Amino acid sequence: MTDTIRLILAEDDDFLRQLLQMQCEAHGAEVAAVTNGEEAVSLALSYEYDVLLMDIQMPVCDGIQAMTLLRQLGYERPIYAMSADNITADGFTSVLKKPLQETDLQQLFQQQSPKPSVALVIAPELMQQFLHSLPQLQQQLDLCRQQRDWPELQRLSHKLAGSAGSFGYPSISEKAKQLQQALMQQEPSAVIEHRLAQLHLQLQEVKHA
Amino acid sequence: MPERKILLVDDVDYTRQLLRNNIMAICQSGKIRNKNFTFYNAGKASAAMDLFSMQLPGMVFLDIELPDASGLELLKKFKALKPDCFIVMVSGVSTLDNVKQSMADGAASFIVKPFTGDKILAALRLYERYLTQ
Repeated sequence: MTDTIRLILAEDDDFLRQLLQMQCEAHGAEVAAVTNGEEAVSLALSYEYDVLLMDIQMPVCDGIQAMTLLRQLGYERPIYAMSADNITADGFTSVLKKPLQETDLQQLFQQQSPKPSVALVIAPELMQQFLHSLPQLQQQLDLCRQQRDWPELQRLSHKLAGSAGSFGYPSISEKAKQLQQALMQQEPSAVIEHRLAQLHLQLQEVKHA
Repeated sequence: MPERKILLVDDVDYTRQLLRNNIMAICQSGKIRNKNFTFYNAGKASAAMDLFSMQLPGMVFLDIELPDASGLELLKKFKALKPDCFIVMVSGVSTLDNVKQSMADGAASFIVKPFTGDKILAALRLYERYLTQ
């Protein structure tokens, strides 16, 4: 485990976001910067970040709504609010007064440590089962392409995106997601075929690894 | 500690097994108090409905995208049958609308695929907190 703190920074003001990102990075943090509460919730639920630093007034989903939703969903990691107003909202780890001072960030980082991650257990026989399912899946994908059965192709790519990620193959998951998106957006056949070919390539690589 | 029933609903067999193995691993690691779960599995909404009616589980991991129905429809039916059931929706699509709709329909939590140990642990901890309320 590294000592690097992984931080989500949610701030809609471009200038302020860039400034805060630089300040946090100067403290050695790895920063994912987003511009609204929805993106912050989405990133937080990946459980790949140690702390969330969030503005209150943001478009789409404000900081209080985002924090409330995350706490409802059982998210226990630190969430810091930034606000020029005096706010009291249960659920925030702390509310930092805007404009933030360097000492605020110093204190924040002193209180953080990388969160220990719970490893996903994948039994070897289960991994084998997943890998053995891939050739059959490739055949199903091809059959869908030949029959122009786009709804079924979308269903299969969606399933693959979820399962491949869980089994430690993010590259397959990514290509499957791209295919799924092309299908959802009803892209021309040529685009779908291209995405499918890319997915096949990725699956071939895993098969030959 | 009473026996707790968990229903796993996902149309991919090895995904259900992955989930079950990891719930058991978390139980054995001592990260949660309850160690006594009995698992039930369903790959389709119809089978899930039958199993749910028979077993009335305390907790359900419910995939939104099922081959024969939407998990959101199933969620409403489960909550009507057993309002205190703790249901964790599972989906590869993590839009805020998706999450909010699930919560509005009675889901207790939401896991965005791919599964990780941290996501499963967070759902189990929330369930424990819910049981002690």
